[in-house]
Amino acid sequence: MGAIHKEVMLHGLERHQMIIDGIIQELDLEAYAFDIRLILIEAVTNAYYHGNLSDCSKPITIRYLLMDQLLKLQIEDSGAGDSGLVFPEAIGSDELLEEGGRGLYLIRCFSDSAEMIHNTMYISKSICPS
Amino acid sequence: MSEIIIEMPELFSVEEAGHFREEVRNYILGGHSSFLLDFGTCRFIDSTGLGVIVSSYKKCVETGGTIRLTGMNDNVRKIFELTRLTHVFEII
Repeated sequence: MGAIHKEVMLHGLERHQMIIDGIIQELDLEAYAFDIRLILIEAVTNAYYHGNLSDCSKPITIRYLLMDQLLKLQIEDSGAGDSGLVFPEAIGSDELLEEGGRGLYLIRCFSDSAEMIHNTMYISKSICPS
Repeated sequence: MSEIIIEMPELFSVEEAGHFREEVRNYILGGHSSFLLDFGTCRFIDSTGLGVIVSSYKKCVETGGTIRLTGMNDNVRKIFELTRLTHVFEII
């Protein structure tokens, strides 16, 4: 598997699904399409609403590297950086009927590691060759 | 009042969630409060989609109704299981 290392920039959420589908296709990871789509949509949605405060003029950058059966993703927003971002380990019984709060939890569920440093989310996910 | 069946979109994310919220809201304003969400053709849902379904569910319960789910594929069901919403919704 040769290394693929690229980045793409988007503004707002109008084209993000199409861009994410293009990344999956380029990486030839259709077998992981659901997982990668979920991770990236949650990360980009978080970047748009919480990092860029719903400002369509502010860019979001997705960087992706696939090498040695490991997919590394970076999603950078234009915010000041959120040092308090927590990826929950579980959904509590008292949180079941909350409207929000599941996105970061799902990223954690579908990735090997996820952390937010300054204004960039770093995610890694193991990929087994098909 | 009879149960309204809503066919869920293939991808249920930000944009589709907004349409769904409006659709359910209009049904509730029209006196309906019980819904069966058919996921037969839905192959993706994210946290925004889940949030809108939960929000709609709470409105339905307030007016004496409920929301049931059917037709989920393995991936969609896994999202409901991970977020423990299988404890909230009746799945048929």
